[in-house]
Amino acid sequence: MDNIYIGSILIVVLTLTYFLTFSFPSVGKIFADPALYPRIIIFILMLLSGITLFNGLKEMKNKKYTGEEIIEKGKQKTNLKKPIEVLFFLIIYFSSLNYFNLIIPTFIFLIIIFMIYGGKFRSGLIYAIFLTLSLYVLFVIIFKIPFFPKYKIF
Amino acid sequence: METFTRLYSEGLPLILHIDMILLMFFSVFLGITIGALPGLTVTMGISILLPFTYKLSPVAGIIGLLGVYVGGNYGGSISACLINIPGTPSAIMTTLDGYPMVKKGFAGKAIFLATTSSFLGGIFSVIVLSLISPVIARIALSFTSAEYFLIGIFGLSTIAYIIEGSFIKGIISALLGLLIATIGSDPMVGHPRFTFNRAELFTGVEFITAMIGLFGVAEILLQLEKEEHLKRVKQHIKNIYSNFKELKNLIWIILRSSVTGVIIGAIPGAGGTIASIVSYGQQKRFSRHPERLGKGDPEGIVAAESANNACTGGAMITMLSLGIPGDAVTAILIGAFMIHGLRPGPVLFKQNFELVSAIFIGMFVCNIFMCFIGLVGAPLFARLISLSKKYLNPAILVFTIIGSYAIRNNFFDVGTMLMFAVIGYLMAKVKIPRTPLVLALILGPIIESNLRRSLILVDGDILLFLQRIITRPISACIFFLTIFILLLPLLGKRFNRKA
Repeated sequence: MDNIYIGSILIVVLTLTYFLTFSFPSVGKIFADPALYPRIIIFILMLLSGITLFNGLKEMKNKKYTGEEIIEKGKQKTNLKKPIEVLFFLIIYFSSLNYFNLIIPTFIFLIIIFMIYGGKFRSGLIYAIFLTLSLYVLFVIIFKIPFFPKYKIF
Repeated sequence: METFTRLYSEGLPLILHIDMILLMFFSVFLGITIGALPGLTVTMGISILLPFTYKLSPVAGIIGLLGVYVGGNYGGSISACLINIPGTPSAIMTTLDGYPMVKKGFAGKAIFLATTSSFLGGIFSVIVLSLISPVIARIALSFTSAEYFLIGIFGLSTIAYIIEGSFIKGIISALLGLLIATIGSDPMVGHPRFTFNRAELFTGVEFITAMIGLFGVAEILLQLEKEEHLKRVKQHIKNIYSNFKELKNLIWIILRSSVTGVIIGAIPGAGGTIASIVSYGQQKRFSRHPERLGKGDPEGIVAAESANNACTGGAMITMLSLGIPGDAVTAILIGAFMIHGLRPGPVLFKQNFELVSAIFIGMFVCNIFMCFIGLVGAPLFARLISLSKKYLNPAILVFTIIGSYAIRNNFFDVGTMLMFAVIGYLMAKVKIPRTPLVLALILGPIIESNLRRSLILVDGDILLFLQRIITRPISACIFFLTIFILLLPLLGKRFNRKA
């Protein structure tokens, strides 16, 4: 099934990318055009994606899933919960740096992730205080990395 | 010989500072810790630490990362021996004999053999590196653009072939990397490509952020799917230093395995895991008592560990002399050079010989520190192994965000990093290897600019271009080797069918 996903997604993305190359200017000689090299890569990728899709379809036709495999697939789906949660909070954390500077978002983010990993709130609090202060000293005071939020609230 | 002497003298003033020595000591310590902790890989550690070297001098930044590389490659053996979980993939073969030896009550002996053989393998590889790379760099000075183009293609096809999994998926990953590398200004006419009018993309995708996403965050997301409960180390590590006599008997095995490690390390994409597997296999063939291997035999530990650490020097050969990364870690190290406006390759030997010399001496010193820290700090690392991920991973995630931001003080890069984290995670889920993509990101500009330059020289005549390749001995060799590698999967299938 993976091969079908890879093949079909790649073909769609590559087709769109191929059309984007038409916006590149021509310099008169084909071999010197900015679009030539990306088009060659896209062409080979299309070919390989086609093979992958074909292999996937062939596999699907021949394969019959056993009960164990279906249970395993179900397990894989439930396992996705934590990575999606962490990714979601990473995006929120990254976006909030634009508004609240380093300390507050980092502090909250650390507690949340600590708890996702199964830690208790109280130990998470101590952990977050210690780490946020260390990170502030390291990056802002020692490394002098400027955190200038675009839309400062505090 | 004169170059060899110069290599070990000109960089000395850059290294012999107390702050540099402390930096090397600290980075090796950090590397061993990263390597020893199951779940943290050297690639992940180096990619996260890379942005912070921006604030350091080029020598300090590069040697700091090399210290992590050397230490990390060894660190995996500690958890391999003590809890039967390889801290790094390359320590997989060490578990076979290391853990049974520890179970027999010889934890000190196992750690001693792993540490000293890693040290000897590492030192051997640095010596070979300093003998070979100046010669290759001198030859590479005569390379034309066609040869550089072919070396890039050869590197990518080898990686796609060697890397675990399907060959087609390896090639897809490499080609995706090449396509992503075209984002930004065209190298010949300067027209922006796939930039969507974002000024941040005009210089291309910041590949350090791409690596942090692909190897740092993606790895943590993947680990979150599995619930791992690490065992506590119960063994007492004692009598570490009473095994020198044993080491003497194993010296030939260490030497042979080190040679294997250096050779395999120099092949693009092969790396420490393959080196240790091949070396262990060789040991099984040559050993007088092959039946003892896998049951706590010292020969098994030294064969795997010396080969795995000798790989560091091997991978550095192609990186320093040709600018072609041997594996994901050396690809990231190229990033460290680029952060400071340097590019590894033959020109580096010509223009920054002092820096090259400092790197060689630095690697030597890092190996010595690795041996010292490994032997003295073994009990401490044994405790660290049991550290829960709930303390480590949140901190790593914050590091990845701040690290990506710190490269150019730009939030756009953090977004790029997160996008690559998702790409890396999805790639791992559908079993597409990530390493070819990373290497292609680095090799992409080299391949494209040299291909187009070559085509302009022959006025677009493909036949003349091919003729030029075939008539030059070096380019002809690389050309036919590349074709051979690309055809290998087909040939393999044919042979298998016949068998």
